[in-house]
Amino acid sequence: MTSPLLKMEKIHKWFERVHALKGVDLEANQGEVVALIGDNGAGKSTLMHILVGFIKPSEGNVYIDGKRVDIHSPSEARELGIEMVYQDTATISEMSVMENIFLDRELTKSFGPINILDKRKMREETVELTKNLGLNIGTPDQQAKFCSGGERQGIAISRAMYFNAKIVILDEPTAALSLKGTERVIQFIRELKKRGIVVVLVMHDVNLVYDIADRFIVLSLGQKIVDIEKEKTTLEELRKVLISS
Amino acid sequence: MNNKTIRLFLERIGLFALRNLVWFLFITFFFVFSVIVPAFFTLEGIHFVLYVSSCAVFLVFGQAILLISGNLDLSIAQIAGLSTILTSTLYYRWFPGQIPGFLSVIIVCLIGGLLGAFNGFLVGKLKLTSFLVTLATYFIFRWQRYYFIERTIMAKELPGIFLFSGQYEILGIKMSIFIMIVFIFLLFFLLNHIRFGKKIYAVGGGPSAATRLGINVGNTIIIAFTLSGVLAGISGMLYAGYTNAVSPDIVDGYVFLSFAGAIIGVVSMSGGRGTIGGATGGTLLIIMIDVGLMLLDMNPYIRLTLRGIFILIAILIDKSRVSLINKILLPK
Repeated sequence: MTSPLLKMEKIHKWFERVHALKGVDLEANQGEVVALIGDNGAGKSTLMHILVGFIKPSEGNVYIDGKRVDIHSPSEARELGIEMVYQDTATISEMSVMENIFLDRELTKSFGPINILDKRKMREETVELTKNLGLNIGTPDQQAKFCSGGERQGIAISRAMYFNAKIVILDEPTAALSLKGTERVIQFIRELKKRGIVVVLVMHDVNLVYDIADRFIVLSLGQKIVDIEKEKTTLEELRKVLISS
Repeated sequence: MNNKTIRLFLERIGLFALRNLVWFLFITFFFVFSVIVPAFFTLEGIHFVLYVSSCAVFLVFGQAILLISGNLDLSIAQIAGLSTILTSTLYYRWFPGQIPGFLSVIIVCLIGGLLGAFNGFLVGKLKLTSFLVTLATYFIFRWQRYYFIERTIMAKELPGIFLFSGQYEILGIKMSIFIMIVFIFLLFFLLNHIRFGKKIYAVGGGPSAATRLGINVGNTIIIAFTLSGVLAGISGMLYAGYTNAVSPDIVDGYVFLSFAGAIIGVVSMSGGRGTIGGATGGTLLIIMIDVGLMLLDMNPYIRLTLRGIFILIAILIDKSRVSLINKILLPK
């Protein structure tokens, strides 16, 4: 049997006396959309922040493609192909769509010992990338502040796709979005799944992700209480679990 | 031409004018002063404005880079003064005749960079606010100048090369003007064409987003402060050449000018926005107005009051300027 693309094993996290994660396991296979659900304070964000190197686990291991990894920073996570798309800070408003997609990983060309930004190439790649994702953003030089919430999520997802992310974590991707924006984000998730990327959706509302997710993991007070495939459960059952937790 | 083409054309002109407003103001004031001040519109007059600007612009560049990174430095003029004073003290008091003169140019930049890095460490690593940190270091650096020298150090006590760049001429043009032009290109290149420049904009435009995208915000801030310190050191050296001496109060009080040039040059106080071209325009504009009013024999206190008024006007203009640009750029 092949090992899962992502495996988090017996993750514990203490914040001084608070035991925020109590031995949580999480696995995801290629192209799988996993919904990580739970109320505020359940430990969803802590678990994902461990995965992207923001915080260190007190105990436990993380495996990518079967290999144990220690992730100390978001840049290390990115090198391993893990990208997180935040709902509120997906982009930098004053920067252009192109600058946002390539930020800190700009394409360069060598000019003697100096690496100069290859703006032409980045523009071309942005046009291509946004076109493939069905993202209608005008020009690559358009500032992100003129994009809608859904489009901003799209920019961040384009970033993950361009740099061949293996795992994309979306933090409350549909919160504060209009119906149209939500529909667009769902299309983006489908596109990621089609490309074999693991998508982890961090949500507190199961209704919004039921259609798109393949598996549901419910956390409550730092513990995993449910880990079930979609075929084996119903929306009603999941709702009940969430309410009782 | 149909209506859409005309509208697009007008929008482009509008955007160009709004983005280069500082240069339009510069040209306007240039003509006004040329008409009302007889000595202004001469080669000497223009050369003098450029000469004074070339010493001041380095402080403005230093401040502009920090403002773009979402920080500020109240101690920038003190860094310029203290690095110049420490370099001079090395030569005339501590190691007279023992250090090769050409090293003075490197030493002043190093000291400026170290003082800047000290501020940067406190802001970038210890996460203290730049306003409070640099307010404290303003006093520390300011009073240290008077501790190190009690009298003005004259040109003959200093290595010639230290004053060279701020004093000598090539084809009748002050060398500092050439240095200013070189640095305009260098800093423009740094901010727009290499990765580090983009990091400065990202850190200023959205520090949390930048952190989450893997940018080391603390290190970027330290480097920005260090660079700003080096630029302040260069400014101090050019002022030493300009005054042909190093006095305890050299460049003291120029912090206001560093903010004025940057803000008039539409560098945003909230970070993430601003250009080296704008900062240059802002400096030239403010120095030109200053020189023009000086030639008109205006009372210095009124001149300084007017500087404050110009900044207020610049902030008000910038506010409407940004909303007008946004209106034009908003996708229809």
